[in-house]
Amino acid sequence: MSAKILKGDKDTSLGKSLQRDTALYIMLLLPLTIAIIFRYVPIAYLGIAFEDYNFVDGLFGSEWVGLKWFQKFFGYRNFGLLLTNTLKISFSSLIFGFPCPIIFALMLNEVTSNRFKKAIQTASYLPYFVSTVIVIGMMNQILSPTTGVVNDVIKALGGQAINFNTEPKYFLPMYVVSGIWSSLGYSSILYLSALSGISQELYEAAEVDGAGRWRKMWHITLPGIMPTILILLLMNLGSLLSVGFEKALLMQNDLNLSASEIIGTYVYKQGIGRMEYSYSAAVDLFQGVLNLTLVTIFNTISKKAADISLW
Amino acid sequence: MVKHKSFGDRLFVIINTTLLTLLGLVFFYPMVYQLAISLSSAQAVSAHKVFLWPVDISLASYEQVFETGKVTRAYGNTIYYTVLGTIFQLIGTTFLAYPLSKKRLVGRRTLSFLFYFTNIFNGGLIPTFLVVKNLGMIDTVWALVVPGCISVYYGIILRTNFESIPSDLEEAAKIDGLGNWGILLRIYIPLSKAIYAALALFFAVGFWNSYVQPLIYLNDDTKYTLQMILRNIVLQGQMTDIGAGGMNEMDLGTNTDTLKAACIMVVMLPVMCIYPFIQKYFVKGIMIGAVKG
Repeated sequence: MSAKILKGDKDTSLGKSLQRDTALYIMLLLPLTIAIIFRYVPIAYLGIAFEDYNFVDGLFGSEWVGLKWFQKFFGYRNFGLLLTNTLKISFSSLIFGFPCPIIFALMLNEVTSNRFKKAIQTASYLPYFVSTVIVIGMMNQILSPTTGVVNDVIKALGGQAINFNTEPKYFLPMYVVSGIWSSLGYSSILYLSALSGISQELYEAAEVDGAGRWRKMWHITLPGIMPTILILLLMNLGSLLSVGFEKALLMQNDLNLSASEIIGTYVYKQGIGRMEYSYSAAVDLFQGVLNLTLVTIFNTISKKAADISLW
Repeated sequence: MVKHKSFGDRLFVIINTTLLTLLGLVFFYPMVYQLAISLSSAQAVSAHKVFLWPVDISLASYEQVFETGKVTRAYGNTIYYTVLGTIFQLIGTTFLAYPLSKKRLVGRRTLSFLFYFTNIFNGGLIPTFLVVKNLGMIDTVWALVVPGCISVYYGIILRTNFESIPSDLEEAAKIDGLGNWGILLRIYIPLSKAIYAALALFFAVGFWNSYVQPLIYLNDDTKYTLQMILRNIVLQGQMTDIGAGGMNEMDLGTNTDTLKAACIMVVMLPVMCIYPFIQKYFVKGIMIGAVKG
């Protein structure tokens, strides 16, 4: 630590540092206050998951009920459904969504015309800026059974119009595909930057040895971006269950509920909608602990197998 | 280096280019389609005549969208939240990143960890909501702007950027009599224009597009944002929000489809107009983050 300190500033006591850089500590007061009030105090508020919280008695006065709310959730008849839906959405998004930007980046990497490459890249970033509400709105429009393009094609081919919005079995594919559409370009940027870092000499040497396009891709390109792939995979696994409920909530309707109700939307409805604060905080905490457990497992595996770790 | 190209090689190039072109269209087309519908007449849309270009061009749908004033009011609200939120977030993130970029600062590691930890674990939706509620911030702009005004993720990116600026500059400025504030404002921020452009874009788009935060914290419908109104109209079909739903449309040459499309275009327009200009900073912003990762 002391070796890193600037020349002339040998003193490492907090008092001297405060005196020397008062302004820097004053700057930090703002983010620190925000972090304490809006990040750390809510952690203390997780205590309500173990009590019967009401506004009058507050966090410290409400009655302690132990694991009552957790038991209520585990005994809820749709507990299994919520859990499977949540896991299904998370894992499908990862399994189908993760490889796409890699493939897209590899395809772009084979393009020789810079202008064409640039144009496709620019187009690919655009969906990232489109809000979830609009993405779902446009998807509903395109898939509409009466006016949508997709059903026009189905009908022209002699098929029956499909009502994608109300059939539970179409919820998951719609969720995953629209997610890929939104983030493909954005996610490919990191791979493209890793690809540009691979030395051209390697390719030239391989060509001298008579390697074709596929062998170069397999033996040079893929190993070249493997560290990026692994770290991004781990980061994605780390936030596996903490994906927001915004999109599921927006895609939800009474008819597709059996596929679209996930823990996040349930917490929102119970907590914000029905003001069951203690119960919903308990459900949310359950999901948080589950996520943390998964992250720890994945992190341990990757540390052992590939020496890559999040912490 | 000109090489002999085999048949397989040429076939690969053709397939690759075709697929990429198709993909490029897939990214672009939904927005073009909405634009075309919003500018067409109801008859043309109902007759499935609109695919790429508007048919029977009319601005009737756009006029109707602004008729009841709800969209106009939501526009004002959203601009207000976005401008205020972006400024707050830029200040908060700068005050987080700049001091922590100074290796001489005692307590730097502890403080950094304190912020980083909030990224791994936090109280979640309901506890945070209760804190905001107990502070009396519900139905005020502060509920949207204050809790989110420090971004730890972008704070790390900004800190990396500040660390890459040579410390000789700071030493020279000190000799010239500048204090910590002066050094930040006159040297570090002006040297970080590109990253600030990227951050401003990320933050502003984030506020403009957010749906869940306003949904949770705003109950008063005069304070609603564009995304909330848009959800009611486009996803819930509450066409009365824009004064539609009666015989009105028949005369005006609009229908549910053209009105929904016009609403989508109206909400998306500012983002689409800014995008081409800040696009290069956007890529830069992610790249700087990547260097760190």
